[in-house]
Amino acid sequence: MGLLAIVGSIGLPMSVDGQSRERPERSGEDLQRLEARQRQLDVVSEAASREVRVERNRRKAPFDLSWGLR
Amino acid sequence: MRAFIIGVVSFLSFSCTAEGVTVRDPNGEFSFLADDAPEEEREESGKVLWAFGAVRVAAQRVPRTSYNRGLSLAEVAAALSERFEFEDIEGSVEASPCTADGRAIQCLDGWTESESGRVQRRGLLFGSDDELVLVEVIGDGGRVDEVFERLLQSFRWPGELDG
Repeated sequence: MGLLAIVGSIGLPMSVDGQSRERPERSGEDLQRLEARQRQLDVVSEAASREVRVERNRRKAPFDLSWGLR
Repeated sequence: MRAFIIGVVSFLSFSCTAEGVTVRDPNGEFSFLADDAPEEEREESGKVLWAFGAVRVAAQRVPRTSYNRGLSLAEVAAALSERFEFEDIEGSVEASPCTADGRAIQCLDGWTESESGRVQRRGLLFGSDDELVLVEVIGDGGRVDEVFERLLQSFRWPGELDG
């Protein structure tokens, strides 16, 4: 029941009684909320892949980039 | 007396000739010519720094590890170049193939911001199966180009060191 409630809340085409039904129209507010959430996830995902890339490059070329500056 | 002076200077890893001053890597890895003797030479855990006024020649060696063993110099240079792009360092350094003393190596050219402002960086990346060596000329203004060009032209590898 809990799972069905969650599935229902994210808009999958399934009712509480298990019968399939048409996906409900989303309101403009819902869409805005989803888009904002997607933007947040994109930022987090981009930051994570950037971190991975930075770490990989540090391991490939482990030089002290500030040597000679001070 | 002259021999004594040259002997003392050689101990400090550089010696004067008619062509200029031969600066030697303390590990015997390479040598290069400069117009004048360095005013300062500093060593710190595998890294060496020579100061020629406002221009510094900074050398550092790192052992190859499982993360970069088998990578070509171009691949390591590309990773190094990306580090300047993606880490919190303001600046940009590009890598390209070049030749030093007949060997194909990688040259670096770019700039970064430091505490004292914008500095130009030009460097050489070379190495073996066991280690990687980066030699950079760092400073401001066109003197970096001048010192770097002389360094590149006069660069010598072990076994070919003069004097």
